[in-house]
Amino acid sequence: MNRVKVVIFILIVAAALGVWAAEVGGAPLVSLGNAPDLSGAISQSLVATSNGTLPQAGSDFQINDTKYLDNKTWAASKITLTDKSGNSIDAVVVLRQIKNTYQVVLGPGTAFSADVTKSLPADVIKYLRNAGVVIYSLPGAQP
Amino acid sequence: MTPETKRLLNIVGGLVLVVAIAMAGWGVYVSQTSGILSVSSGDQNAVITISQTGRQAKVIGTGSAKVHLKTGDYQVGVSSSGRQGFAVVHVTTKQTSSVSLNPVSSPQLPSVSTIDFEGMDAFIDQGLSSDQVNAIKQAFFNFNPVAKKVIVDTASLQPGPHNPNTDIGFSTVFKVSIDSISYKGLVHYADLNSARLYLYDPVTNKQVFDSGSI
Repeated sequence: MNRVKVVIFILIVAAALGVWAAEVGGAPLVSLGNAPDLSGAISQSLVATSNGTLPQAGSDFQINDTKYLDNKTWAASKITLTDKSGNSIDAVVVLRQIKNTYQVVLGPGTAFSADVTKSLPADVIKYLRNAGVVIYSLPGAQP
Repeated sequence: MTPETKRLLNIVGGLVLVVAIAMAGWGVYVSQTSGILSVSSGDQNAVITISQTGRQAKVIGTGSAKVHLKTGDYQVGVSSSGRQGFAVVHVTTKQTSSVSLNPVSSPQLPSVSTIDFEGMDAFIDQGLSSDQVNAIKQAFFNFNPVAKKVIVDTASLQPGPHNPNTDIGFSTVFKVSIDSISYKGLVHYADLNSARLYLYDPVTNKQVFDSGSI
């Protein structure tokens, strides 16, 4: 009788684990926490591929302001990055809508060369200037 | 076996049974209320991340990944050695959505190379040099840095008016569309290295652009 009970017990446990394995299929359920708009896109562009760490909005950086520009085909955000020592750096990041997603194309930074920014739409450049970003010309560059 | 041991075994066995049944129940719940996202990359070192609008991003694997997700659109990213690739994938309940992504060069700021040009070789047939064709491409970029497609109507190219007594250089007139907007174009050139692009409204003939000498 005890032997029968043990066998039934093992069968039930095995069946239950089998159902679990079949349904979940080695693919864990992932849920994403709430965060400001574009923070996910900014995080993804900042992923450290050397160790696979992903900076998170709210802890590794804060988004202070986001503006959608040029008929929402561009976006720019003022962010504050915090390093492991607790030092904060304010910066601006520029995103462009590419294939229905916003991707970081410039920054984060506080100064960009005129060579790089010349292809940006006028209202993006205006946002950068208003945000205090320095747009500089490299020596010998064409004005 | 003492009664104490028997009781302990019964309790442990009961707990194992409860946990196993709970795991099975959880597995059924997950499979019935979410879909599967399967991501693969040709770069086995690529870090795979996902995010959504208004949500945090998360790393889900390296090289390949398979996760259950609630229904919705997700931005999938792969990153490796400074290169990145992105795609938007829709996940549907009880279905598997698969995407293969490779890290390419970082998202580009607009440049001449991000514009798709068609028909530009026709200028070579008109006698312009490849340097001049590149100058014309630069001129189109300067006119519209965020243009995606420039199509020159190759059948429309013909020499422009030329008075040998007064005119320095030559010109070619043509029709062109920039992101499906039509223009009349004129390229003026006097040597083998530079060119100047003029664009006109095809209806009013009003000049809308002068590139200057490039």
